[in-house]
Amino acid sequence: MNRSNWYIAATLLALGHAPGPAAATEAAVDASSDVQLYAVPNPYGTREMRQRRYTQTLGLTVRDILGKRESGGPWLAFSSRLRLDSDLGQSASLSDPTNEEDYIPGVEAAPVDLQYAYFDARQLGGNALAVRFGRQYVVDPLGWWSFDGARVSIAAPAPVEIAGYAGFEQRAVVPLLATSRFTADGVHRGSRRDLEANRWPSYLDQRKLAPAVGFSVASHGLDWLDAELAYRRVEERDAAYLTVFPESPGSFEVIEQSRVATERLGGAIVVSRDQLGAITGRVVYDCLLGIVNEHAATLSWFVTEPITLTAGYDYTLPTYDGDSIFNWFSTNPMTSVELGADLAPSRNLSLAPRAGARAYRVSKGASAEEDPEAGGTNGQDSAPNSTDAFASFAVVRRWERGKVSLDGGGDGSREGHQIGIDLEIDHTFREGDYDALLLLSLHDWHDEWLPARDATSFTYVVGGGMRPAAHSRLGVEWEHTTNRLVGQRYRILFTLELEVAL
Amino acid sequence: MTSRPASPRGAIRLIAASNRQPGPPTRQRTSPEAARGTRPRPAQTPFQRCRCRQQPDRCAKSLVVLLVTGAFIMALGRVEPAQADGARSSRRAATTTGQLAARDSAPSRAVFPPERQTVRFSHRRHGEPAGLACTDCHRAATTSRRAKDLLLPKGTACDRCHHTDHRDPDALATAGASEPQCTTCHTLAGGDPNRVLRQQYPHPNLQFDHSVHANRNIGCGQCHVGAATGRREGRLALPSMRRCADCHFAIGASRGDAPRRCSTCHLSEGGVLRKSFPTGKLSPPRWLGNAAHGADFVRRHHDAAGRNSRFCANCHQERECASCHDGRTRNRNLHPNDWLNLHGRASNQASLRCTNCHREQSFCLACHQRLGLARTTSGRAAAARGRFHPPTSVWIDAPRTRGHHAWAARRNLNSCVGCHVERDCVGCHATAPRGGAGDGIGHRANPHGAGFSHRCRSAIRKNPRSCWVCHDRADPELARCE
Repeated sequence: MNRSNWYIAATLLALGHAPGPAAATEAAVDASSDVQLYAVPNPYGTREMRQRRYTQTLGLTVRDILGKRESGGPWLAFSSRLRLDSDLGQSASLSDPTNEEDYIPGVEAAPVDLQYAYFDARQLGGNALAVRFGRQYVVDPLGWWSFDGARVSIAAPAPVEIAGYAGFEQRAVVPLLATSRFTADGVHRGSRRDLEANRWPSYLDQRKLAPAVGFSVASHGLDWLDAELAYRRVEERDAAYLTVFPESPGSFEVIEQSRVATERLGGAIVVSRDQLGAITGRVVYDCLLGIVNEHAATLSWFVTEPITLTAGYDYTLPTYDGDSIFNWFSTNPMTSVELGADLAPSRNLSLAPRAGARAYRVSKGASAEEDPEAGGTNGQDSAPNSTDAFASFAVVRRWERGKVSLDGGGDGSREGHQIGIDLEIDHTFREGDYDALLLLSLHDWHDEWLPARDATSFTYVVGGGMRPAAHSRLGVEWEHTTNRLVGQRYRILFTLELEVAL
Repeated sequence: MTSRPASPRGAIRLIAASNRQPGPPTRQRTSPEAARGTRPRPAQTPFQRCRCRQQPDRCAKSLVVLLVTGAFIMALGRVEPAQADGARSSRRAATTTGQLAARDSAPSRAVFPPERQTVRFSHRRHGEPAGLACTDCHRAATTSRRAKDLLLPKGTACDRCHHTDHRDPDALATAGASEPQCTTCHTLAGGDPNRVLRQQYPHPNLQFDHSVHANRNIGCGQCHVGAATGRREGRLALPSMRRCADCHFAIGASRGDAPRRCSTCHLSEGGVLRKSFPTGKLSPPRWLGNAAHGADFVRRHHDAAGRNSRFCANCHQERECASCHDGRTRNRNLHPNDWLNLHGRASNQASLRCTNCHREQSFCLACHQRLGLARTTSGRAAAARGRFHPPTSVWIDAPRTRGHHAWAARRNLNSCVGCHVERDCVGCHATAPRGGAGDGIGHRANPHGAGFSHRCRSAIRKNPRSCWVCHDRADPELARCE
């Protein structure tokens, strides 16, 4: 039984031993089932993935476990979500370590993932204390993260909330088709249990739990200020190979000591003033590398009720998991500058035109001033810095039973361009019992270094759905894409969503 | 009399010349062309600078695209939303009010569904001039405890001054009139003099206790600004959220007992605020955390969530986030059209920052290995691999031009990490004892950037693994960091 399954079993066990719900307890089960059929060929036309995906999620929410909340009384809830993502079109040989020709580590045919499962207790200790226990998400200025453990937050008398948490990292990122710590950043990591020592040395072992601690200090309950300071540190305890080209099978040098996987300090702030505008800012300091690797700011001016003008910039230098050598290849940042507007001529019509430029600092390379001997390729550079120009616009018109949206935009530079426009119409009929979707999309792109991959592509999507009961939907979508790369590509998606109150 | 010039260019010159005012002689500047002895270039007019004269076809196409887009947007703005009959009538009756509502901080249609107001009424005339206080007509306004209480006066409240008797409609008559003058206040239904249009006031979608506010000596006019003077009539006199926030988000003693929680006023459903109503959806105002959900908010919500996810959690449950972010289906707003072919180009250009949601070494690499795109992959997939990058002479060999892999990696390393594992880099860039190409750091291509010596001290102390992959532990180079 792998770690995910242990978690699932433990959660179900905990639920089984939970005290019986009081009469006022609310509970709901929600489920979604998606079936989609499509094919993905490689750029050379020599290999194709036939996707026959069946994805199932199952959520359980129990509120007011202690009974109906009175004003100021303690409140307890439980939330969980489970996901199965199986690819029925996938060959079993891909995940068979004994198959030398096809095996790719980390590929699973039907991974089961417990995305979150936690108890949430609020309004403890005179409304000042809140505790969350279990597998849970954290979304803060450092990004989306999840862990198994406990988080305690205290609302101070001043408009400040202080939170601290400790546990074991479960996922460093959003849960997009990824499970557990397999998503560690910058390295290729997972279970090597069935692998011989000299096979796939680049695939690093991930077996031990990764202890994590963090805290945040945030403003609370102010309409003109939102500010948060967040810190997070994750330890890596697994052994990892140092020798990626061994002299002989099994002659790997290994690092076994506990070390830092991630250590970041970040902050975000919004200061807004009615009738005037807002200033937002965000900064992230990578303590492991000792650099500020992200900072961004925007200035918004509330010109009139329906017009907001915005100017902003965004600086980023990619950093990776502490084990990754990519941290030393990431030396040049990219910076975007953008001007935009948000317009709302009426309550049902909104527009957002934007334009800007993205600068890549490229030409300044190796640290010649520090190590001219090692950085011997200096002077060979003949490529200048690079700049992209980009623009986009979005228009949304809503009415009681639907909306029409127009999205367009593109970017261009000496390396190529990409431009496209999408028109989508959604409408519901008979009090929302039925719905329909039409999407038309036209895109054109050109890559200076991959001209064989240039195309002008047209896609349309036709879909519809019905609600057989409240909080449920049965839908189907047909997507057809045509361009010179794929010829004709079809995709069918069936969806069933259910929610039942217990 | 001067002859008419033959060309527009001549006309502009002529006008410019005739408009020149006499004045003191000015110092003549010598143009660079004149200094070089070449023919000076004539000054260009705005018309001459326009490229339309040089590329009329391109200009015409741009104009057509501009016109079509503009026409589409204009058409969208003119679309009439589908309305219930009552709401439509109400809007006709108060067109001016509706227009104001759209532009002013009018109460939300989602919170206060459109009413059907068929009575002509002016607070300006009934307030101070008539010597009436608010509670003279709205008698229950200071004791009401529920938002759905209808606090408007009944017709009988008008009888004392208007000399009518709403208890007996047949007896309705204004003083001195031979016929009942219902139309003084009411709108007739379909022109029938015996029927007046019914009023409709749907329940507001919030919870509110008037008595609590009245007991705190909060006057009617503090929330219903301009109602007493008639400056804001009808639904415009209802309070906007900004007005509530003046007290409920205040700091210190000025807030008093006013709770800060959103659920104090807004309706809850499933542990979060109820957002969707038949007459609209709740959306945060821009002054509240700069989190207005504009037309392209789906592309920008990452920033708002990162700044203050606790604010988002007032209205959104985790499962709402997870239902999009779990990768069940592709989000076409962000990944349109043939994204399977387009995403490579988008990743190179960082037109969306892929790493906000994806991690290359798991999400991207697994597919790229299966398809034979990645360099480190299974035997069968590797056999299917072709050349993805530019030719070796450009991609690998010196000098480093725009097509060189070093340039591409410096420009956007994230686009490399989607296919390559560290083994692919170590083969050349590591020191010889670690399998690199030798001669100092492999191929004399030092990947470390400027300021490296400051960064490496912290890194090698906290996690030396990334150093030891390329450098032998005994490498004297490492001593500089230790």
